[in-house]
This record gives sequence, C-alpha cells and structure tokens, in this order.
Amino acid sequence: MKQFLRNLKVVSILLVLLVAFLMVGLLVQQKRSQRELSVAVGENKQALRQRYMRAGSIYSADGVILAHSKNGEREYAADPALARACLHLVGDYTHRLPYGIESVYMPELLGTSRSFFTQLFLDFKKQGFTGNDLILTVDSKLMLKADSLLSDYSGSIVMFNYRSGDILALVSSPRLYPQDVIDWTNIVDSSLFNRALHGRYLPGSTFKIIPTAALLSDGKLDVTMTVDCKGKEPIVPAGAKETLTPKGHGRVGLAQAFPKSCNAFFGQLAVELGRERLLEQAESFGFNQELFIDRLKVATSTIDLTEPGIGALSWVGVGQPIGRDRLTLSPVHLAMLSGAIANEGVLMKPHLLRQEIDPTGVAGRERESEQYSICCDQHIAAAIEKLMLDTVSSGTGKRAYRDGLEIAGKTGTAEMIDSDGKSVVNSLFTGYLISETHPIAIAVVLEDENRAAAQLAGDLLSYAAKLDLP
Amino acid sequence: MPFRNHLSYYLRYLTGPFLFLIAFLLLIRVWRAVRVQMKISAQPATYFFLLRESLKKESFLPQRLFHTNLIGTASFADVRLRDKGVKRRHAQLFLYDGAWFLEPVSKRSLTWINGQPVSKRTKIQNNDVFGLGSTKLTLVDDRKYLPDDGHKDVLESITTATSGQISVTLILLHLFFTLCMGILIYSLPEPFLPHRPFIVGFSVLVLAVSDLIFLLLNLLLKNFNRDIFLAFKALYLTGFIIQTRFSFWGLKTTGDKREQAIATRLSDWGQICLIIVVGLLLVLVISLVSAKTRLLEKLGLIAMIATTLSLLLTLVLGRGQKTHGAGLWIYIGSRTIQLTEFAKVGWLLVLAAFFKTRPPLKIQIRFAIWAAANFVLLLLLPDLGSAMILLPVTLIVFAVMTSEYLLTSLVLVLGAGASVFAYHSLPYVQRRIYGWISLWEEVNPQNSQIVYALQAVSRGGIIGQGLTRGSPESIPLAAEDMVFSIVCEELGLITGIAIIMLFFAIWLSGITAVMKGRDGYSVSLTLALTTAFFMETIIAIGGTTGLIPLTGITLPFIARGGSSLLAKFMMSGLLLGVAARREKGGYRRSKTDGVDTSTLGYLSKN
Repeated sequence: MKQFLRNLKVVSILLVLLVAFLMVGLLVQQKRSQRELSVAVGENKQALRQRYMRAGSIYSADGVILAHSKNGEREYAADPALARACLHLVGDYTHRLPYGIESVYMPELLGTSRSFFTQLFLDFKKQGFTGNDLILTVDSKLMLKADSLLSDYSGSIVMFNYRSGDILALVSSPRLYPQDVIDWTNIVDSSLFNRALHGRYLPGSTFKIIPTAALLSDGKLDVTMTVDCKGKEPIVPAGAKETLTPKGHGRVGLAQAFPKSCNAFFGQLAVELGRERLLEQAESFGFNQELFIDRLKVATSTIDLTEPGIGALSWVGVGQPIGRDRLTLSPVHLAMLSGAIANEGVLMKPHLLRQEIDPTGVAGRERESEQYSICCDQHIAAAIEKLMLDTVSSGTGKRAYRDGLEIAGKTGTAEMIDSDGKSVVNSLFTGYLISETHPIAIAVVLEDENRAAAQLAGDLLSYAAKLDLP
Repeated sequence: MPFRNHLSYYLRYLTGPFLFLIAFLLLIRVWRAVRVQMKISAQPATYFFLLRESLKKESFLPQRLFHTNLIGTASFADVRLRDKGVKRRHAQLFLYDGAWFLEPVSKRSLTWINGQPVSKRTKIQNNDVFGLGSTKLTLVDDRKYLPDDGHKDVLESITTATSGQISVTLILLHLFFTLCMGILIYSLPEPFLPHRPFIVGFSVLVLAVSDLIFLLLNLLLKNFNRDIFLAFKALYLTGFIIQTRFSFWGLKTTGDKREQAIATRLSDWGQICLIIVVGLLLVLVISLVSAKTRLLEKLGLIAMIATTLSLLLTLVLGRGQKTHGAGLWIYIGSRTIQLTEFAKVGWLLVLAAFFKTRPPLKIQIRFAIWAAANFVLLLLLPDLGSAMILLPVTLIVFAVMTSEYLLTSLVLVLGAGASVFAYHSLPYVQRRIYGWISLWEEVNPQNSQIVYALQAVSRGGIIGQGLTRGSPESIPLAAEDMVFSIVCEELGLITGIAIIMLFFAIWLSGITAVMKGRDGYSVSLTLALTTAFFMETIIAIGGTTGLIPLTGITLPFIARGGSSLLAKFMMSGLLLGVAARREKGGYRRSKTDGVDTSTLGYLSKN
C-alpha cells in the first residue's frame, strides 16, 4: 500500500507540473503571438476585411486622413495621389504589405492591445468596438511633393526633423494605388518593396562623411594632410582613383577634397586611418546596428571589411568596396547621417508615431524626442557642416543650392550590380537645411540615375522651407 | 449597428468567467478530496492489527495494517520483517468485503497458517496465527468494538461533495448553458430564423436528457461520482455551444444551393444533438453495467482482438490521407466513422486487464508484444496522435501498478529511440516537426494552421471577442482539430484555462477513486481512463497552441467528430462505473461467498 500510494504521488506531481506548464505556456504563447504574429503570410483576406471594419483612423501630422473605416469599408486617403504616396508607409488591411502601419500597429488600430480595464471602460461608454486612432509624424504635403518629384524614378526619399526625430516624409517608388494592392491587380515589379526602409544601397561618396569624421577626431593624424590627386592613376596599387576627373584634382587637402569628392584623397585617408579606425567610426554612426523606427524595422546598414590589402581599403574610403568587403546603407540611415551632423553630432531617435487617441477622444501621451546616440563631438560636426555647405555652394552638390537657403549636403554615385547582373549607377544625396524653424534632414536615393538626387533634394527642401510645419 | 449583433460582445464579460467559476469551484473541491483521501489511504485500517511474536524477547509487538498489505523484507513493504527466511515480497494480506485473505506471492515463499502450509489465497480469521520464515504473526480482529453507525460511510462522505455544493455547480452550469445558447439563438443568422423553434427544442432536449441521466445515475448508481459527471457535463455542453455556433454561422453558399446548404447544416446539427443524447444513454447503461457486474473483466481477450482488428480495418479501408494527412476515416455510405477512436477505448480495457495485478514477467512480455504490434499499426496509419496518448497512459498505469521504475524508464528510452527512428523514416513526422520548429520564424504550409490558430488565441485576449464574433474561416479545420483556438478567440483564454481545469478535475477525481478502489481491475482501469482523458487534452491543446508539435488529436468533447464524441461518452460511462465500485458488504460483513476475488490484492504478484 505504501508503495502504491507513493507511485500515485509521483504521477500526481508529474501531472500537476504538466498542467502548470500548459497553463503558463498558454499565457506565454498568447502574449508572444500578440507581439510577433499580428501579421502572417496567407491570412484570410475576408476575415481581415471584417476585422478592419471598425478599425481606428490613421492621420498625418497635419490632420489629413491617411486611412479610415467608414460604413464597414476600409478606405485610404481621399486624394488618390496621396494614397499612392503613402502606400508603403500606411500599408493595406489585407497585409500584403506586412511592414506598413496598418499591419504593424494592427493591435492598436483594432483596439485589441488595450488592457482589460480600459476595454471595460470603453465598452461601458459603448465605444469598445472601435479601435484607436493613430497620428503619424509625416506631413501629407511633403509626402505628396516628395512622391511627385520621384515620379518615374525608382528610388526613395526620407525626410526627418533632426531636432525632434520626427519622420516627415518617407516615400518609395515604384508604388501603387492601395486598391490595386487589395485587389491584386496592376502589380508593378518590386512595387511592394519599401525601399526607404528596406533598401540596401552602396553609399558611394556619401560615405566620405565617415572618414572625414574619423580624421577630424583622430589626434594622431595630421588634419592638414594633403594628397596629390592624379586622376585615373591610383595612389596605392589597385586602389581608389578619380574616374570623373581624368586629369585629377592636383594636390588637395580636406577642405578641397570634400566638396569635390576627391576619391584619391579619401582613398589615401582610409589607408592612413586603417581598417579598425574606419570600422569604429562607421559603427559610431550607426553601421552594423539594428535600427527601428518605433515598431518598423529598418534594414541594418552593414560594414564588413574582410578583403585584404590597402587597395581594397582605399575603395572602402570612397564608399565603393571591392572584393569581399560589404558596405550597405538604408535610405533612412542615410538621412540620419546628415541629421546627426546637423544636430551637433547628436542623433535623435527617429519615430513615426506621434500620438494614439482612443475612441472617446482621450489622447495618449505625445511622444517625446529622445537622444538615440552621440555620433561625434560638437566641433567635429561643425567642421563637417562647413565642408557640406561648401559642397552645395561650390562642389559636387551645386544642384541642391537654392538662393536664400543654407543647405548642407553630400552627393554620392555608386555603381552596383543589380539582381540581373547588370551594372547600375545609383545617385544619392544626403543633406539638411540649416534653419531653426525647419530643421529638416533629407536623403534621396535614385536607382539607375547618376546626378538627379541633389536637384530633387534642393527642390524638396526649398518647398519644405515655405511650409508651415507643425 | 443593431443591438442584436452586440449582445454576445457585451455578454462576453459573463460567458468565459462563468465557465471559469464552475471549473474553479469543481477543482477546489476535488483537490481537497484528493488530499483527504491520500491521508485516509495512508492510515491503517482501524480495528485490525497484527501481533508479531518476537522469538528472543518473548513479547508481542502490535503491527498496523492497511486494507492491502505487502509483507516482506523490502523497504517498501507495509509489514517489514527482518528475517532471513522471508523474501522481499513474500506474502500479501488484504481486506475485502470485511474478510481478510492471506496470499503468498509465489510458490517458493513458504507460508503457514495455524501450522498448515499454504500456497494459494486463503481466508483467515481472528486469532489465526500464520508464519513466514521464522516469524509468527497473529491477526487481531476487533470489529466487535465497531460502532453501530459504521465509520466507513463517514470516510466516504468526507471525500464526496455535499448536495449543496453539487446544486450550486449544477445551477451555475445551467445558467452558463442558457446564457450561451440564449445568445446564439437570439442572434441567429437570418436564413436559420424560421428553424428557431426546432433549434430551441433540441437544445432543451440536450439539457433535459443530461439532467435526467444525472438524476437516474444518482438514484441507481451507489457511490456515483457526481464531480466527474459534472465536469463531463460542463465540457460537452461547452462543446455543444461551440458546435452550434459553427453550425449556423459562416454560411457562404448563395443561389440555388442555398436551401440545400441550410438543410445540411440543420441536419448536421441535429446529428450532434442526437449523438449527445445517445452518448448520455450509453453513459447510463455502461456505467451501471460496469459498476454492478464483472462483465468488463471478461472482455480482456475480446478487447485485444477488437482493437487490433479495428486498426487493421482502418489501415485497409481508411481514407482521408489527402485531406487530413492520415487515413483514419472509413466511409459507410455518406457517413464516416473513425474506428481508431474506439480502438483507443479497447486498448485501455486491455491495459487494465493485464495490469490488474502485478503480472509475472511472462505476461508482461505477452502484453509488450501485443502493444508493440499495435503501435506499428498506429504508425502505419499514420495516427501519431493516438500513439502519443497511449504510450504515456500505458507507462503511467504500468509504473503505478508494478512500481517498475527502471523498466518504465527503459521503455521511455526505447520510445525516444522509436521517435527518432520515426522522425528519420517518416516524412510526415519530419514535416510536422519542421513546422513546429519554424513556428516563430516563418509561415510555411507545415505550420500555417498553428500560426492562424495562435493569431486567433491572441485576438481573444483574456475574455474573448464574444460568441460568434471570431473568424474561424481564417483557420483550416477550425471546428475539428483547431477548435481550442476558436474557443479562446470567442470565449477567451479564461475559458481555455477553465477547460484544462475541468480535465484536471476529472483526473483528480479519478485518482480519488483509484485510492478508494479495492480490486486491481477497477484501480487500473480507472487510472487508465482518467489518464487517457487528461493526456488527450494536453496533447490537443499543446498542439494547437504550438507548445508541442501538432498531431491529429482533437480536444475531447469540444471538437466536432461523431466517432470521437461517442467514444468519449463510452469512456466516461466506463470511468463513472468503475469509479463507483466498492466492496459489496463494506467493513461490517464478513461473508464473502460469491465474490469474485481474482483481481484482489493487486499490489504484488510475481
């Protein structure tokens, strides 16, 4: 009998543990799927449509409706051009764009993220069905303008407020009308890909900001170093060379090389800095680090220097790595590089979501700006700002110059091999407007195009400067 | 929006918590009963003891007795002797129907009663002296001092619920059912509105038959375990509510075929009602027969053959490989039947028959061969889910009845080896495992079902979205394999937890019955049945929520499936019946003529 009872006890303890495991597991699985499984491939579209019937609205910072539910239908911005411009950002209720606000903030929009007592209170007020409204930081006019400037280019534009971190515009092209995505008609190749968030581009000459910052902050190297640029003839064997100016720039220091984007100088600079110093500086500017804008994941910008030899190193210095070296940059990150320089070396945490408002009109706390990281010292930022101003006023970025505006910037052209094995030249521009009322940093990336980025950035910044931004 | 659509939404604050309350009350009560019963069982049988004659000191030592005692030198023996002539498990002394029996464990364990050697079970009386090795023991029977009212019934009453507790649970259960069915019938979709009287009538019928059977069992079945029945009732009524919801919502057919689709839906729902009514009648009959007769004990061989036969039949005739990944459905006309559900019941009967006592090795091996053969059949079907239930149930019954921990571990290791082998040789096992591993990384055809199910669970939150407000159309097989996720979506996680609690309450009640049981067969069958219910639940819920790889196991009583539901009702009938078995005469009687004693003294055989 003793033994029999003991056996029963052993089994009982085992099963009690199993029950505990199951109950705790159930809670854990629910919490985890609330976090990670709000969007899944192949969800039932009809069920999703039902669910979004009473979802909350999405507004831009200037109060324009970007998505709302009306009479049991989910509708997007009334202006078709705006709806199209916001496609990648806002997403769609069928979750074909799994990284849009509609998908990623579904729990808030449907109201399923509320606590038990909040929900009870709202049900009591007969408002429990309706989801919460979201106010984004983007400006509808800037979105529209950026989208119209992109027109038929493939590429993306990111604008953000470097003092607060608010994303003001985030557009990607090619894009579609939301209804086409929902109906799955007229789908253009790669149009569902959000280039602004997930694009991985070669930075080209825009990367030169990094070695410049490294040179200025390095105590050992001579800041007044000069290099004799001989055009097509590389300084180091198989190293970076100046192809656009065959005759070369002659003997140049940093002050001349930066505006002219002299490859010879920056190649030599990278060699003198060395791999580790370059890597360290790039990482302090956010390379190799995961980046999120609120809940949206941005493609991680990577730098991976494994190719031996100083020739390869000099190519990294000009943002055009060869061999096994890897160097990629997302458009959002590109805008943040300028943003950090503009904000005295302090990068603000980027965000997209300004406020959440529940159905009874009670607004959640407005998002406060916070520092993300410190990229470089204030005086270094000031020195780079000077160089970037020169670039726009007299250097490679002249196309971005606008009378009466102080625009700082850096251009880049990068040669990439695309998925078809074809060589493509991308045009990049990163810059910002020096203004206390309009502190805007911008990144423009255009695919298969070698000069228009600066032009577009100038147009957009001068347009933005006239706007009354909230 | 009209109020009709919002009724279920606002009442969701009541539905889930209601079932939780029922389950909670039941579980607390059953938990207490188990603890009390543990203490009672660990206490010696009062009014009886052994006098042990010490040879050297010329004195007597009183020795306490349980209702079943193992005498030997082993540390776990109830009467432990330190005597070189005594074996580890030497003899067994047990009380049944008021009479004491002594039985040597094997022919080689020499035992005398009043100077006469005995080799088989022998009844002994007050002041009989029996010897083992060089020890002499005297049985003392002080029953004449037993008070007239008899304390046996007092013990029984501590561990069974009072009528007050039962009525509260019963009333709550009725309220829950009325509330949920009220919501459903009130907000019935338009095409079914003309059939409302029919639906109301059948729902009332289901409830009325439940109550009738409960009443009849109360009257006819002595020691009827009402807690187990109420837990079953809460479960199948929840299942009925959910299946009603599936039956009348989500009708997509339009045009000419609409009328036909409506008729099909109605007849399918009527069939569910019918199965519940028939199932309840089966519960009544089976529990009465199994409690009052010893018919089950004679079914061992028949169950062995029937189990194997039904597996073979399914293997030959089974269909559904394409739609469900396993060919478990046998078509009879337009109806399907899943024989494997009944094979599981058969297996449990065989298991109980083999391990009603601690069987000799030869018989254990015979069982192992039969079990292995059937396991191969299960893997060929492939019905991995059943295999996953039957293996732990078999091991638990085996370990409890024989105390062979070493052998149990060995079988576990073998089972692990077999599953590795199954993983490498059976592609569908690989797919399932892969789907489970990649659950949080990507959505693929192997795990999309679980992903959508988990999405539903996450949407439900704590109290759910309200009946009919979920979206079962987004989950394949929502009414069958994945029913738990819809329960969680519409009635909340709280209902999911309540379901687990109800099954756990059944298990605990079963354990109380196991401890009360006197004969080996009742004990092992109760243990097997109650553990089977529990394992099935754990594997079904764990599978649908991604805690363990998904198998084809459906949640007992809740999921759709006529064969499964009927088999579960049969199992509950058996459980209620064997759990109600007691000694016929109790403590007082000392006449044992006509009692089948073949399965008594289940602790030790060799």
